[in-house]
Amino acid sequence: MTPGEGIEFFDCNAYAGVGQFPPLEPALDPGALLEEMDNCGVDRALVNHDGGDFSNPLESNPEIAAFCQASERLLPVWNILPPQTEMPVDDLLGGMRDHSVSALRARPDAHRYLLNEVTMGTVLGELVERRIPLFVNVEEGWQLLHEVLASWPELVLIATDHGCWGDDRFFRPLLERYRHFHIDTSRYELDGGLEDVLNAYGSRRLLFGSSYHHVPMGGSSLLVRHAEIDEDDRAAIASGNLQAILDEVRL
Amino acid sequence: MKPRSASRIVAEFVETGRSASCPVINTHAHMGPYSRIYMPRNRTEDMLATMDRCGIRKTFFAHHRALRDSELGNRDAEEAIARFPDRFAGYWAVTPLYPERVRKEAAELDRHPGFAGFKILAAYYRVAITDPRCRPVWERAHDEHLPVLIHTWGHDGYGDCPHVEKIAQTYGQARIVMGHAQYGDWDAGIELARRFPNVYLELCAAYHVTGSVTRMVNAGVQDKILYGDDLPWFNPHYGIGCVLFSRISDAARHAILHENAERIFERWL
Repeated sequence: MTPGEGIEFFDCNAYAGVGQFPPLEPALDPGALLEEMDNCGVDRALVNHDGGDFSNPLESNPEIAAFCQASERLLPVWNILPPQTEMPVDDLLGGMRDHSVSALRARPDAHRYLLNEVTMGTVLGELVERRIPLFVNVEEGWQLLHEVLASWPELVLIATDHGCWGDDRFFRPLLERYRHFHIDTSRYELDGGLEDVLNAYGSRRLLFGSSYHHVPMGGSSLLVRHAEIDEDDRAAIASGNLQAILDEVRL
Repeated sequence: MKPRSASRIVAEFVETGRSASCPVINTHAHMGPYSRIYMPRNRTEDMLATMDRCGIRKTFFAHHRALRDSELGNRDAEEAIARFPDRFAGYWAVTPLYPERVRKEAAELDRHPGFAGFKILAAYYRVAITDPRCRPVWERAHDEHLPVLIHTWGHDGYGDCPHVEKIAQTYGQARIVMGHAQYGDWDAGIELARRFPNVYLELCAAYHVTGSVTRMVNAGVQDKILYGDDLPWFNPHYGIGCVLFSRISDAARHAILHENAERIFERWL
């Protein structure tokens, strides 16, 4: 049997739309994103607004929700802001219910706030309570992720886009300590890295991601298809783990 | 779901992880451990196993240790090449911070038949490729039509396009392999490859920018593009996947993944 045959691929980390620094081949409309997914054999995707760092989430959140209306294969990810300014917790949760949003992203550097107890305590408390996953790009800094998990050890946190330099020395201690901490495969290009992490921590902590439209879907998807792991683990990484996380969300 | 691509090469890689009709030649790799990154498969045998799984016929590499200490590291490389001469060939890494060594090593390269040419990691040493300390390498490469793999990153001030242009103008017979394809300065890198017959674009890391491969091919330089992936850093399936699923023809896939290297590195295959 061909590795990966019959397995669903669910990308936890796709980007689309008009952003501040467009890639060479941006996916500006749902058709372009779906075409890449078809090309690479990716069934579904959580989609971030690429302009989500530059624009106010009050604009970009509904925009990406509307973008994902084009296909049930696309699910929107929203950005959070401090509740003390324009995004009270009740408004955030109400909006998520109205637009069927089950995943959030924090971009504290771009949106200029501190992802800490004082600023985001009520928001992250709700996320823990409702099992809502929070995605954070590791460019925000591993120190921040270590501090966030120290404050909210039960938070479902997914670190995305760790660079090609290999961040194992940063993230493996977090995998060891926090059971709801995950990493995605978008830029986990390290030869043997996926297998090594799986052997140490199990397949449940890894989520297939691509970081498309910045990074081609073909690289990460072919890597997962041919990783030296058994088919159950492959299915878990390709889609099962992300689906299980989303199934637990209580809005 | 199954990828929709109609390419036979893509289908073969998706099904088996490699392709009988499209072997891969890796023109940019390393070997051994490195300080700033944990690499679980950095040993020679691990790399061979990876190459077998990914359909890589031969790998051209510079040992990590040689990037710091050319004497010790190139010796390590030579040992690995001697054990597997059909699968590995070397770039003799020079460290221009030790110019006496560069002069000696450039003069004596033919004592080390497993090495195809040289590697200069210019930016890491903060020494430009045009620096007089690199001159022995370029003169030798020019005289004998040897490949020189250089680390190139757009606007880095050491191996970027203006520096490569000067070298290409001066040493027209050296085979200048722009590692990372002038990452970020795509169009200028493509233009260099178009203008100079002896300048090539090597894809390591560059492939992970959506559209980079397609842009090069569409610019008409598909015969100047080489595959590389920094193994044991990057899983070749990642890099090969980025190339395979680019919107290019099977002819371009063949050219990038093996045919161009077969032409340029013919003597060492």
